[in-house]
Amino acid sequence: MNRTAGNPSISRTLFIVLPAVFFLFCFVFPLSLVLSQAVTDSDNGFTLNYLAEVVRSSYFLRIIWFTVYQAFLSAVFSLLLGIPGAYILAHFTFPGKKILQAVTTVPFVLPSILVVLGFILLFGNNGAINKLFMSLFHLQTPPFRILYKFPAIILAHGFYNFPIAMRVIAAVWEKGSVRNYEAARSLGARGFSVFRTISLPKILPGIISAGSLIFLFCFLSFAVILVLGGGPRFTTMEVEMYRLVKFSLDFKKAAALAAVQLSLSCLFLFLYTKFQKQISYREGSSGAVLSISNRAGKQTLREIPLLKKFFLGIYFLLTAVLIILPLCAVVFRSLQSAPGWSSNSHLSLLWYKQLFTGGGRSLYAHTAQTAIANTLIVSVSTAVLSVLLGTSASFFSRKQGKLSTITESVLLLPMGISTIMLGFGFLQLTHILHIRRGAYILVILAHTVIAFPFVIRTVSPVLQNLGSAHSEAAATLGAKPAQVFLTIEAPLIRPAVIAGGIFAFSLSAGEINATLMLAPRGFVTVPLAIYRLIGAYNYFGACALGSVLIFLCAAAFYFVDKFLSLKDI
Amino acid sequence: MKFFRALYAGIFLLFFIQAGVLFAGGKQEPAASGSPELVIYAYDSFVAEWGPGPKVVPDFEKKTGIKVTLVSLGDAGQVLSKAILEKDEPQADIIVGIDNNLLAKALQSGVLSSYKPVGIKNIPAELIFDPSYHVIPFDYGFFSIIYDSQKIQNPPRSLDDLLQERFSKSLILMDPRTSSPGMGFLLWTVSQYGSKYEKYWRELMPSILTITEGWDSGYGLFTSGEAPMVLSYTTSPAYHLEYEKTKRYKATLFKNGNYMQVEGMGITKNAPHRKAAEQFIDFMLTEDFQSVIPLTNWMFPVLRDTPLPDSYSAAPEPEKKIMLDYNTIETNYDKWLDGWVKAVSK
Repeated sequence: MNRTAGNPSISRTLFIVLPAVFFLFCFVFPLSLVLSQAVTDSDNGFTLNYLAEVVRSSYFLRIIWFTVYQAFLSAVFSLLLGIPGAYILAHFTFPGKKILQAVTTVPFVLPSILVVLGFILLFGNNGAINKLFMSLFHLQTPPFRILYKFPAIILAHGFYNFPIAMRVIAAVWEKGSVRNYEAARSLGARGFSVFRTISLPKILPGIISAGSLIFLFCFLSFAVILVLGGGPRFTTMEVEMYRLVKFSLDFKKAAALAAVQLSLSCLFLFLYTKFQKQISYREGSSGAVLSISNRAGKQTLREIPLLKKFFLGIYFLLTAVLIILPLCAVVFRSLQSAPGWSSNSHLSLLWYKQLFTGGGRSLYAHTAQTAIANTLIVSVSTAVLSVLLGTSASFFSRKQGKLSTITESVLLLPMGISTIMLGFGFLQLTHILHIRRGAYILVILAHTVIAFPFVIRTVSPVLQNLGSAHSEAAATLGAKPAQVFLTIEAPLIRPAVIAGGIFAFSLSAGEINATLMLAPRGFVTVPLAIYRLIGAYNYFGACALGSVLIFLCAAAFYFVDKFLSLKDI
Repeated sequence: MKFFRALYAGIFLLFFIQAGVLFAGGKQEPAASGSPELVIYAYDSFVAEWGPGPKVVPDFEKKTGIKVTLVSLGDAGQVLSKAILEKDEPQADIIVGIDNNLLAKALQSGVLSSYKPVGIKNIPAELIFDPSYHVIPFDYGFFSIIYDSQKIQNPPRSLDDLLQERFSKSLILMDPRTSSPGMGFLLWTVSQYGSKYEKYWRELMPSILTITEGWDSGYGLFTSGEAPMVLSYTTSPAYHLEYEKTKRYKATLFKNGNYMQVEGMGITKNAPHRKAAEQFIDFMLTEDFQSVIPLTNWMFPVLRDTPLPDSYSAAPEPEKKIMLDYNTIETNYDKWLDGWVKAVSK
């Protein structure tokens, strides 16, 4: 057990104060406003009717079951896609690896409408792939009718999420020594049996951790289901809540559904936290040195035998198709000039010019620049705030033990809640507190609620992995706890903190649901602007602005990887 | 490490700034300091830069000196829901977007008050869909199946035609629970097939490519070429003619008629600025307002003899106009929706 010497409980408790206050006010309070709707009837009396209706009616049960089912299949699919990638990431090094890693993480933070748009541009009936095959083989009708059905949901979820599987599992795979492998090989084990007996148990916690996280995201998925699923036949709880809140105005039923959704999310969040901790403590005995991947353990391209290279190539092709091409489709579309959908399109920066210098009926020039400025303000504030709160909370929960696990699970709860309900809860809050909708601080607070669990998720494992050797050494040399913190621990976790901050920034930059609900009149962020461009027929403009966002996030993630990779120590 | 100290300091500074913004932001709302004012809730495309709002509001302000605040709140349904939320203390004077399908809900909720403007006599009687004058019509349109003439040479001429096998996976529709065209189309099928509408929808399923949540995404999929037919308005081809100079997308007029949508606006009960609201409604029925509608809202103006732009040659008006009585809609709304969900979820 890692006990951080020299940290008496008073200072430890201090760490949790700010996060707790924020959490209570900005999450628990709005959430309770929403959930209370589920158990009160119109006369404000207590009632379980709505909850009963939700868990008993066959209509809702079907929706709940479908939500779980598609999330499960999506998670399995993502894991299957991610494990080979994790193997590659963990064992090989090749030029462009960092860029690949950065780009594959981008879809996760993009506004989902943009991702869906990219998917349609690529896989749709009139998408790039179909058009290619139709012209190659002179077909009249599109050969690949993938979208607007159930498989499209799984496919799109895989696209979104398999990089998470890849990175989480790779991180676990990389760790530690090759001694076990060498021992197994010297005893005669080969190939698959090595995988089965050594690798699989090693990465299993990673698989479960990544799997439960991906399950959670697919469980809460919204735009993918809405647009690519094809209609009411494939509805999830999130889509249903959206409909109930926005259109049917049936807030009580929506709240009841949210309660069910939250309970299920809690379960998976707990699973995730538990296994994440297990991963962190895996190499506890070697606490003296940060257990980071060492370059020496990886093979370069040249060392790989031809057969392996072939499979590597296939895998990359698959990755490219699934991840990068939809993004490319969006960027490519933004560079086309095709008036009236005629086929004589040519490359042009027309849409970028339009966005930034005016012209066009859909958006005045300053709106695009204002959107970017606003996004920067909001997202940087969110990042800074999230880092402060998330790091504080991580310090509190770094010790092993039930309190830590529970605290962390609780603080991660915002990851498991529908952003629609969160936005709705905030709206109720403003109503009750008579705060005018004119302040964009609400947007920042809402984004922080959504983002700071990710900072915890990034910082906490590193913090827990630090081990106590250095701190103990410093303490024996006479350093006070504050000094130990400032001189030893802070610099060591700085990369993780910065990584968390950049992650929070990207999440905020791509957030749309809560922003849509809370943004004051005239306040527009980049995702909001993209949404409005799409609503105004201006798909080219949307792609242009979307491309700007893609490059912004890709650059951010590239620098994250640079910071977080401590290979140069 | 100085880094964290700086970080903490930065946070508190940020909080100060934000706290200032919190209160400053509140001042963005114009205070009722005695100058006449008017607050209007409308749906997004009305308020957007390309919509009617930014053109008619300054005109009204100039003519009357009344300052107007135009608030966009999503779609018509959300406008109504906001008004219902604020029923006891209305923040808005006028709500825009109640159509013949939402009328029952609006009247039931009791958020509107009656006003019969003088200019109402210049509106054809058939367009006055609220005989109690809580909602005054400002434009109207007809739902239609729009098709891509490059892909379809022989368009459907009736709801039954849509069932043909050659239209398999060719039609994009919208969800009636979340979209007013979607609702319009459902009511269209009910008006034609009566209690057999569920059977029609089950038979229609093979022709449907997808049912989208809103008109935006549905129409977007259509113009992206995902399917050659989409549910929209007869005015959609006019849009393409006006801005893209193409006659590629055409509207269909069905043998048995097309379903009509009439949109209106109403004064809220206990509106803070009743007189100003009445003036706006009066203004709405003049040609200055009505002539703006065709190219901004893509609907037909209610005022008789308002000139239409040339591109509207591509926007046909059907001979037969179908509209269900709003009381019938109110009584059967939920039942029809339930039946629809069952029919399309098989």
